[in-house]
Amino acid sequence: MSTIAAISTPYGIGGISVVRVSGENAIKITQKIFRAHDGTLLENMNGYTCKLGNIIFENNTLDEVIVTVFKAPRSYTGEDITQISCHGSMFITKSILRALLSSGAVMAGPGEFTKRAFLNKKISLDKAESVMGLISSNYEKARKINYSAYCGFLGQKINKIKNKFFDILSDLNAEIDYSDEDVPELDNNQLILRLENINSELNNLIKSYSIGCVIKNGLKVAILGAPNVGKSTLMNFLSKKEKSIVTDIAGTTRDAIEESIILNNIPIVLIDTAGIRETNDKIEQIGTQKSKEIAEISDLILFMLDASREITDEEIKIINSFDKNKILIIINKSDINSNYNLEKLKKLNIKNFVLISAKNGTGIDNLSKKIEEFIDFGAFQNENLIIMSERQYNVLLRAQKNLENAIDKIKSVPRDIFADILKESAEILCEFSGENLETKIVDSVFEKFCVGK
Amino acid sequence: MEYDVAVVGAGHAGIEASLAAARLGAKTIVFSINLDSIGNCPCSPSIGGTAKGTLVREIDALGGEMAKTADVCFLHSKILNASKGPAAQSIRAQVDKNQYKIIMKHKLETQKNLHIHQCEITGMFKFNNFWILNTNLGTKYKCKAVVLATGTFLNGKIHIGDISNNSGPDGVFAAQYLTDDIQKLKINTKRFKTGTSARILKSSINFDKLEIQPGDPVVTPFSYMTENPGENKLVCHIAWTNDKTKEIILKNIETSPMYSHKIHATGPRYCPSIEDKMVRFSDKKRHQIFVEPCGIESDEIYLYGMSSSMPEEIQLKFLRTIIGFENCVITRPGYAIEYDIIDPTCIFPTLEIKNMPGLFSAGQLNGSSGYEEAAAQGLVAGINAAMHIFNKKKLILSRANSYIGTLIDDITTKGVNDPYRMLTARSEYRLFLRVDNADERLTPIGKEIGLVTDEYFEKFEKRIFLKEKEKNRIKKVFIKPSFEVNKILEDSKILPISEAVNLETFLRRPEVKYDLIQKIDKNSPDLPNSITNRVEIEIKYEGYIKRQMQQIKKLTRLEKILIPEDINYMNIINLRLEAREKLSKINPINLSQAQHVPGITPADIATLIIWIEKLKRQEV
Ligand SMILES: Cc1cc2nc3c(=O)[nH]c(=O)nc-3n(C[C@H](O)[C@H](O)[C@H](O)COP(=O)(O)OP(=O)(O)OC[C@H]3O[C@@H](n4cnc5c(N)ncnc54)[C@H](O)[C@@H]3O)c2cc1C
Ligand SMILES: Nc1nc2c(ncn2[C@@H]2O[C@H](COP(=O)(O)OP(=O)(O)OP(=O)(O)O)[C@@H](O)[C@H]2O)c(=O)[nH]1
Ligand SMILES: [Mg+2]
Repeated sequence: MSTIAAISTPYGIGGISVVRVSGENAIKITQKIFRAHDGTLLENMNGYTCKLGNIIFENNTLDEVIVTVFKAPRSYTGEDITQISCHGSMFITKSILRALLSSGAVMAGPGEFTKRAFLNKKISLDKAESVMGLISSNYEKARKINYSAYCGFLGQKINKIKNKFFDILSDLNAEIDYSDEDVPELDNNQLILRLENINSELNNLIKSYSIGCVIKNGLKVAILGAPNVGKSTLMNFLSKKEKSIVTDIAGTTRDAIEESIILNNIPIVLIDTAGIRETNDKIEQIGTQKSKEIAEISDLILFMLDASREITDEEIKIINSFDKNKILIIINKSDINSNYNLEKLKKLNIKNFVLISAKNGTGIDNLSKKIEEFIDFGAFQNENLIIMSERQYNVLLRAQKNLENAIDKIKSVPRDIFADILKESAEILCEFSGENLETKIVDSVFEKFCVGK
Repeated sequence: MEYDVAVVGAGHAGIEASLAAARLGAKTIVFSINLDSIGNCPCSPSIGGTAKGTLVREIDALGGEMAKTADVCFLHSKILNASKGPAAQSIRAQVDKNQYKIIMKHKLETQKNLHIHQCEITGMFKFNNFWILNTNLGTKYKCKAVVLATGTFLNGKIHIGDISNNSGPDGVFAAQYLTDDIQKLKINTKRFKTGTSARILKSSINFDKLEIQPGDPVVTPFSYMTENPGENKLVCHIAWTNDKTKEIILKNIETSPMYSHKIHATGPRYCPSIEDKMVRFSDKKRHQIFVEPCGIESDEIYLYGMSSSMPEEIQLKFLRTIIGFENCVITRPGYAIEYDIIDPTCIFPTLEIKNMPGLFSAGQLNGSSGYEEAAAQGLVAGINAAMHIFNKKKLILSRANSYIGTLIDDITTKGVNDPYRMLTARSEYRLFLRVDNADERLTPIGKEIGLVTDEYFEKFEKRIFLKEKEKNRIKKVFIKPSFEVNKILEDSKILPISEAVNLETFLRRPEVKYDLIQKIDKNSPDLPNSITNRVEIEIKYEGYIKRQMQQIKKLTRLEKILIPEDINYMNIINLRLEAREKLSKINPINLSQAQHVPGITPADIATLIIWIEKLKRQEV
């Protein structure tokens, strides 16, 4: 394969920058522009060692750098790699890259280093995805989960499940192929038990995707309520910005406003909406309609009431129109009235509510605790086994669907057909780590990478 | 002396190879160290078995001989896995071992264009475009093509306990010289081992204490040409090992040459010796033994499942622990045999050895195990030796059309680490590679090659015509939920129908067999089982078979992309280094074979496709 090069550190000014070269000619090409101070040639260096020297291109000394050498197959990509650590100016870094490109390297495509690592069987596809996840992790929980996937916990789990499949398949094949030996016949109920066991393991992983999504994309939380209850005030308080306009005029917010925040280690996409009410104002009507649509697509609705007044029939009507499972009632302005009459709420059968003051911040801790409970991390104690990638999720879903079909058919189809259906599940599961994957799928995974990884 | 084709060895591979070459018009000679051992079954006197029976059918469909001979001299025949589904089913028959040899020998003797000759081939080398073979008597043969089918004879060495001697099976001399010349040609060889069980005297067995295993009431023949195979001639029996057998074997385990490390060669994983089974499956209470007669005019009994190379007195001791064998008398002890094989990755899927035009290799010599596996390769090698002589396109069977193709692709692409046995699990397409439809898959190919006779082909076409006609007919016939119909269903313990359905839909119900249709629909034509059985399978499992056909399409697409013979993988810089090395070693003929080379990924194949396309464009 061609020898590729790219800048591996972020664009911008930094202490140092790293230019990475990988491929059969990585060492030869780097040598063309590098002179070690002690005269050592790169080809004589062992893997995992480095040398100080100058980058000289067209008789011009560009920078003093450190070159680290990795030798195939003991490198990230499985090929020969050199890494040039130079001073972190964008100008110097780009000049070095240009020098490499005119010495025979070609510019690496997005994710090409990691793609090569996958093609050279250094890492599995799920691991490659976790590398991507690691790069983009911007808070602790995401980093932790991506890191454990990177360490292979998830891959190991999938392998375990896959091996259970293969065990069953080989038992089935033995039953078929050694019918002239004394191989015992398999009992259907026993088989079903083994398959149900696999199914429940698949199911746990599949369910974890909802959490994976929250961790990756943030929980979509919409603040809804009648005008002037204090929605925008809460939004500004939580995002620590004055993004939403706050006035005492009902109907201030006309269009939904979005803001990403991290609350107690939970990434949240907070949406402030226009107050909902029956009105003749065209713009407000549209706003009301839009708020309802946002409520539909949100993971959680914070429905805000005003503690300074009684709940209205209109509010009750709106509350009832939403899915009770994703609604949390917030009673705002506790600073004005801390003895809010809960009777009416109780009649509505609502037990889950928080009393806050968006103005001075009381009750916010309680609110974030309630949000955390809503996500129910408790059900996923094992952070090592959370699915974050949509591709992986779909693989698992398909495998499960197939498995359920197999269980369903076990008594009505003969053994060889049954084994065939089951084999398909195992094949689907192989896609998880990228074995037997069509090139296209592989490419689409790597296109999402940033260059230099 | 000059011949077009010389076949070295007249075992199951050599027989098919020499008959095929001669029938295709090549002047052929076949050598055997002992002409009385032509077609010998040194192990179990049986032909067929799961997947193996399908190989025999495929040999028949292509115009080979094994099926027809087995149909004439079978003693006991059974469909295996009858209830486990269409892909699992196959035929297994006990044959009269002596009869089988006599018939095969006579077929070779009377075949036009074919000479048989008793001698040992001791040397072989290339001279211009000819191969020269030397015999132990100093005679030279000059041939345009050679098929090596030497089975277990190359440097054959037999072990019983700590006694060993150079010999082939059943007292025939080993071939001690030919390996040297094979190695001189830079063809890689390896050493394998296999083993067999003792034969005991029929009159020394107490059959009253054994279970009877009868054959099928209606015998299913191997060959599509056999219309009336006749009935089973005798029954087989089943015996079991017990704790005492195990105790004796384990106590004396060190006397087995495998365990005393006298043998270093690799043995078959799939039919281990009894001492192996006792060690490896130590938690198993008992092991089954099939008690198989060797022939009508023979009182020797073969014990399937009891292969052993322990000292003779130990063999007698543990056999006598078995209920029914208390007074058994051994006629021949079991033994292990070591022999040389050719590393099959040195062979093209045509079975021609790479870089050795005109030199072919088949059978156990290629690292396979089993008569059927040997015969299958012999047939392909014989056909291609003839194609070589007549400068015609050589036959390559596909994984998508046969177990023969799968077998050859497996061994030549992946190599062998232990004797290769055919299994249904080796095929990705086993729902299509069934025992019933071997003719549909292969007879047109056999016809084109010229081995399938006109008579055979006419019968084949008629069979397919009748099958298709019946499949079409039952689409159009509806049955109604009448009292009579539901009474018949009830009698057969099948849920009644509530509305009119056509017979095709009805046949898809898992519990419905074709014979029920015959009962309900009085207008059903009178068709033989071989056709109704196929109608039933093809309709009942249509969806599943279709899925495999889809996969087959993908494979066929790759098979059609040929790799230029002079390709230099080292020049394909876009290919991973590992892939370049592996592909250079195997030198696959098309992308399907390339795809199966261990370590090659779909991404490598995609790179190759682009490279080959580019080459093609440059040529234009
Ligand atoms: C002891 C033993 C146990 C076995 N057990 C099993 C088993 O459990 N299951 C199973 O499936 N298979 C078993 N087999 C394998 C099966 O017997 C063989 O796979 C099959 O017979 C191979 O057929 P073949 O044509 O390749 O070779 P063979 O049948 O071995 O025939 C070889 C022929 O070549 C001739 N020959 C060899 N060298 C020369 C020469 N230099 N010059 C002239 N003629 C030569 C011989 O005379 C012979 O005719 C066993 C074989 C043996 C020997
Ligand atoms: N005392 C008190 N006043 C509050 C609190 N929260 C909001 N307010 C006041 O309530 C008024 C309305 O606040 P907003 O945040 O604009 O209300 P809104 O729900 O966004 O209103 P619309 O955008 O019109 O739907 C402002 O005058 C706020 O200062 C609170 O916790 N306590
Ligand atoms: Mg507002």
